[in-house]
Amino acid sequence: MRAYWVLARNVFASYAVYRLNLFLEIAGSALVTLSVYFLWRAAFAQTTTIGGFTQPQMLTYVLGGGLLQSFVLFASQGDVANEEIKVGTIALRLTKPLSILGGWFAQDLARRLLNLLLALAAFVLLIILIHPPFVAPVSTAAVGWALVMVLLGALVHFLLFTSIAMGAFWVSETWAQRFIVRVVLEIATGALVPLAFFPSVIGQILRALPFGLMAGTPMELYLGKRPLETIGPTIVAGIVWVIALAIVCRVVYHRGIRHFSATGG
Amino acid sequence: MNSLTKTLRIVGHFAKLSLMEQTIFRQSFVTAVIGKILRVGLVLLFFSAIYARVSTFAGWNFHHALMLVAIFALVDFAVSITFMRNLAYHFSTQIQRGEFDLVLSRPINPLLWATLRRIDIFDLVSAIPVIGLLVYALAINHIALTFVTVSTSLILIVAAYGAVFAFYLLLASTFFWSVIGSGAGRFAEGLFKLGRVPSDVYTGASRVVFTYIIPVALLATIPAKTLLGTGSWALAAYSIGLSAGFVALSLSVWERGLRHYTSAGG
Repeated sequence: MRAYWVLARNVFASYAVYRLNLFLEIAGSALVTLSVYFLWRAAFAQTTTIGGFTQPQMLTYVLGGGLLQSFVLFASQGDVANEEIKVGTIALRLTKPLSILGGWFAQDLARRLLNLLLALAAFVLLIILIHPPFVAPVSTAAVGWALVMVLLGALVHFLLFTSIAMGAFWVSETWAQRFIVRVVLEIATGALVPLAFFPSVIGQILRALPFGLMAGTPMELYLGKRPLETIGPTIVAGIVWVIALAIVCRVVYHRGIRHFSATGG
Repeated sequence: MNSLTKTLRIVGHFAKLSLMEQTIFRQSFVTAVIGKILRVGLVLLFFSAIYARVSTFAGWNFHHALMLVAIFALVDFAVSITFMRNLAYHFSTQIQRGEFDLVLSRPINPLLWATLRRIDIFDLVSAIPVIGLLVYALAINHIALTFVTVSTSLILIVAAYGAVFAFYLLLASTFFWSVIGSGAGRFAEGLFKLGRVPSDVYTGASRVVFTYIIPVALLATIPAKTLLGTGSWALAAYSIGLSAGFVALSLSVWERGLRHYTSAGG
């Protein structure tokens, strides 16, 4: 365990060397949140509620969702795994007494934590500039369970992208497949628009997927739009998704590593 | 051979080389094109989810928003297959690795190389749904295509393309002084995406910033308004003038950066 902690700390330190680079990346996504913020503000110009949300609630939802996205979505997204398999440097990991999946997870966690710190800075700056209305959480318990959901969402994100990235054992490059998932996640997390707003069939599909855990569902919980008593099935479903994706990840890894052969001298 | 012919031949060679590189991972690029088409669809889904609850905002109804999305997608398409990745990502890597020195030793305009070295030929396929969406938006808004409307809109779309080029060139020019890495490119993409919503939603200081300083309004809002008949000649003229000014500024900064460039390493 200590080895993974050292790995994560070293990765954190190496990413922190280029913190301006990371900050700009996160600031770019904060700008997208900004555009949606203004869009919703304009939408509320002629009405006091939309879909059960008041303007302060919706604006808090969008900003909070944007912040959560920086923790969940803007990690490596399988880039490290894909690159190491494609280039062959995964062979170095095989010689070390560390689990490869565990090592990738430790790196991913380090990146996420740094992203969150930088995102907090970016969003504080945004808040100073635009003075948004802020809605306090309905309860501490709601915040606690929202964080549990976010952690589940982050695990789903890591396992999903790592599983896809390990397709590189067979096809060398998986950027495009991960790109499609990233495109879907832009909407499917519910960070920009509450998932309940989507029309019937599409909305049902989006709510059945675990991506709402990443931003939308936690923010609904935070604002009291989802009663605490109803979140049990959602949490259980999230855990089931994590377990299922972890199994997929391990199966893909074991099959892939048997298939793998490093090139070069 | 005159300069224009030579330039076109070079661009043709770049396109051929890029196609050869892309066909190494054919399946990847087919999948990526599907992803780009999906992205346009999801933006439409995003707007339809909002408009299912409100009929208009900032004076834009759903049909108007379709026009905006179509024009933004068109500009985005043109930008992404030409200079965007070259200036935002590949150029900083070339500078970091010292590869740009080799470019400067060649009988080729370094700006041409930096801008158009990789052209996403496969991405031309994603133009089909974008043009389809534009045609649909024109039909649903009952826009009569007169010579004046079409030519003005085309000029404004070219102005939008020029403004985005200028912005990315300014970004790339900063790499002569300080190589920041891919984060700068991601920041630029985030700024670009501000044009995906009508600029009329921005209020107060934000409206001033995003109309006159970082003029994302140029990208899609002004061309869309022109086609919809809700724009003005003043706005159109301002758009063209600002774009031309931005391009001139960016070229000047690029030249200055090139003079400042002293290579990487010792």
